[in-house]
Amino acid sequence: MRRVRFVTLISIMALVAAACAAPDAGDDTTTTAAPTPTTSGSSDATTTTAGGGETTEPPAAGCDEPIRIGVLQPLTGGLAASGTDAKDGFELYWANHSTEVAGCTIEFRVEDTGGNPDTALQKVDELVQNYGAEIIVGELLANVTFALADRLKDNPDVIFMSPIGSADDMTQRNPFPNFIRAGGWTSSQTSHVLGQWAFDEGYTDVATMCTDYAFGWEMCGGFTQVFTETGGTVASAEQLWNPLGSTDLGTYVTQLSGFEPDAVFVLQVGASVSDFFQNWSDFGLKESIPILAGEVTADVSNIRNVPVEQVEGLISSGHWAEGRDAPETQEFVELFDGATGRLPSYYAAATWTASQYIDEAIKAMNGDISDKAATLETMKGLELLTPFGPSVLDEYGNPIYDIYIRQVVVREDGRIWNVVIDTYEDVDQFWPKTAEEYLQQPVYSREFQGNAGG
Amino acid sequence: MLRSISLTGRVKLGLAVAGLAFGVAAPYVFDRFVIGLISLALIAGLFAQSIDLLGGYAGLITLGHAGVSGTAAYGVGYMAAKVGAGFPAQIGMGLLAGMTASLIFGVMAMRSDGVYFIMVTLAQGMIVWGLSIRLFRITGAENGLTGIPRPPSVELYWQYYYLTLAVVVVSWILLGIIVNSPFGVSLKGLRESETRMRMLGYNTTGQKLYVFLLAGFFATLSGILLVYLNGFISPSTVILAASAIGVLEAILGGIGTLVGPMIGAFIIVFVQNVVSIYVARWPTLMGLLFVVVVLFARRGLVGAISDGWNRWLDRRGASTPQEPILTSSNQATGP
Repeated sequence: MRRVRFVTLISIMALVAAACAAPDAGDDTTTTAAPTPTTSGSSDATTTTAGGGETTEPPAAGCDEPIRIGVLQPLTGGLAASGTDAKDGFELYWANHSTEVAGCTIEFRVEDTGGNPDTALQKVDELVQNYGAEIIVGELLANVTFALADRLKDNPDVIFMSPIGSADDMTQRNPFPNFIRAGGWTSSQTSHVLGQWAFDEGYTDVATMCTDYAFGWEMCGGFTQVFTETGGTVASAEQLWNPLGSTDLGTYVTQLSGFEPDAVFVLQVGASVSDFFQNWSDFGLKESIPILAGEVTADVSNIRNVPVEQVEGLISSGHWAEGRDAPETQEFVELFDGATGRLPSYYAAATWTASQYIDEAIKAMNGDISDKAATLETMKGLELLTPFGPSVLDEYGNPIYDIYIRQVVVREDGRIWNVVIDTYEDVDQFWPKTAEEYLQQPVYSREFQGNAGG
Repeated sequence: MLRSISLTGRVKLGLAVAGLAFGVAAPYVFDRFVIGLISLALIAGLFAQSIDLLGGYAGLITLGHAGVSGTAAYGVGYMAAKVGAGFPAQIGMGLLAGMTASLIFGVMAMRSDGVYFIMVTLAQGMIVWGLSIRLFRITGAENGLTGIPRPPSVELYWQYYYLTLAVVVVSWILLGIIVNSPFGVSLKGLRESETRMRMLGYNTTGQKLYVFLLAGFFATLSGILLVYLNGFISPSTVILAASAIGVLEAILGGIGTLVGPMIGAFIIVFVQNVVSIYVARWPTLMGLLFVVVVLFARRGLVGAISDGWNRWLDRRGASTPQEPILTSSNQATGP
């Protein structure tokens, strides 16, 4: 009996040991300075994208201490795939750019939040106080991003960047002083544009189907407001809201077809995406009713595993288009594909771009970022060419981008991606309104969709 | 005077004094990160203890307890972030919200038991979660509520830690009094056989409501402590996983004891926040921990330790029979 127990115990301990060794040899959570560029085929791209490596600035003040960056992403749990994309994008940047910037060494550490605000708040304390992080690059979920921003708002020694968490109010009605969304976006920013485009395409009567939570309300509201104010119609009764995480959308799809709309605006996330497209095809609606998708629904991370014929030709809008035919985008796409074997999602492009902002800001500040307010102002003054395209920040710290109308096409290698079919230049978070005008209305919610038709 | 207490009692007393001394000294020894973790673990421990009062003592396993603590936390958060009321009103609203939720949930659940009780409480927790993501004006939906400062004089992390420690210690003492009272003993009766208790003339339905309210009170306290610790509340605090973690903490540490849930909470908070820095697959590790505990220590870590201790006492008692304090375990001696 004792022997049996002993054997069981040993085998369990062996399992534990196996679990401890992460698939890519241990440096999964803790990455320190100067990661060697292991990326295949990156050597030639490094020289083209580095930009600052060759400009031999005087060693200037230099740094006694390395500049430390803390990255918080969900690497376990339901959002692990997206969080890992974000982590990979961040690490890839520093694997292909010098970590010696303006005489300072850049170090960073990636921590797992599990998508849980409690854990994220503990980890950010650890990163700021023990690790000495001066810049925190934060989370994917709106609630965790809000929790972190609130915790860091009184800390004048830290800059908080959120390239993914896109809750509208963080740069609108509920701003935080040391918060900046470099590389990020607001949820409604991209769907505003799709509302305009849909009307210009001749659609007049559109139904919507969005996930019933804050992100879905904001995406849907952005589309509904601009589309109806331009002249289109969205009947309130034809706005469907399905619960977060639902995976049987058949009843909703049947209802949508009953409305007989010109087109349907759809915002689904996670596992609901493939379920939606499955149902849409099963009901034979793909040929009869066009879909206009919110950015995340058509993101490559969500449609990777959907059968090609179900999403080919899908129209969406976004600040990210991995199929955009421009060198700054394609260099990044090839690097990421080479390193991970996946086409990059917007999560990866976002953290790469955040790194780019950090890199350029440190250069512009000549290595001295001790004055965080000045550093933030410097960041807001940068005009960068990022994988997203040209990027500048508005006074609220949110990017002004070109927003793309995208279409899913099949690449030569059989994979699908989003290519650009139309571009709206210099779109800010209030587009097409002014900030003053826009901020008078409440944030989008299920009750307030900005529907001009009531 | 110490002589009059059994050896086990003396060891327990020693551990309690040592634990309390450690708790008081901790802010002088550790940095802010560790103190934050200990605060979080104490609050999680209080929450797990309140689950254990229901599950371990009365045999009523709940999977919706985060709904009660979360409602209290939302009560505080709403008054602070949306109404801008003062601290007495915030805490008052927290208590009111938590106790109202306990009362409603208790009335709904008091006629069921066993697996039906689990299902009813599960549904209650899901209702609170569903409301938290939908009632945008009250809860801030997915974005949660920010801007919940701590009351003056407990603003700093170590001040708040001492407040947390004090509330948890007082609650622990109160819980100890409750489970050792005649009412506490009757709860064990409820756990063993409800029909027999009813035959003996107990109003078991009333008993269940009463214990649900008591457990709800301590969960409410933990919810209020948590919202001020984080300065933030969002639907993540009331999801099913939050309730389930509380149950798992109680099982891991030792269900049917008060110290067990606290130990379980410390272990889980430590794994989630510290081990995860070094181990990428920490959820696997946590799963294995549960498997090992359930396989080899069915009464949890505290159960295993106390079994081991009793065996050691028996052996010691056999070699030194003059020790007078072994009356309770003597019958287990001998072949």
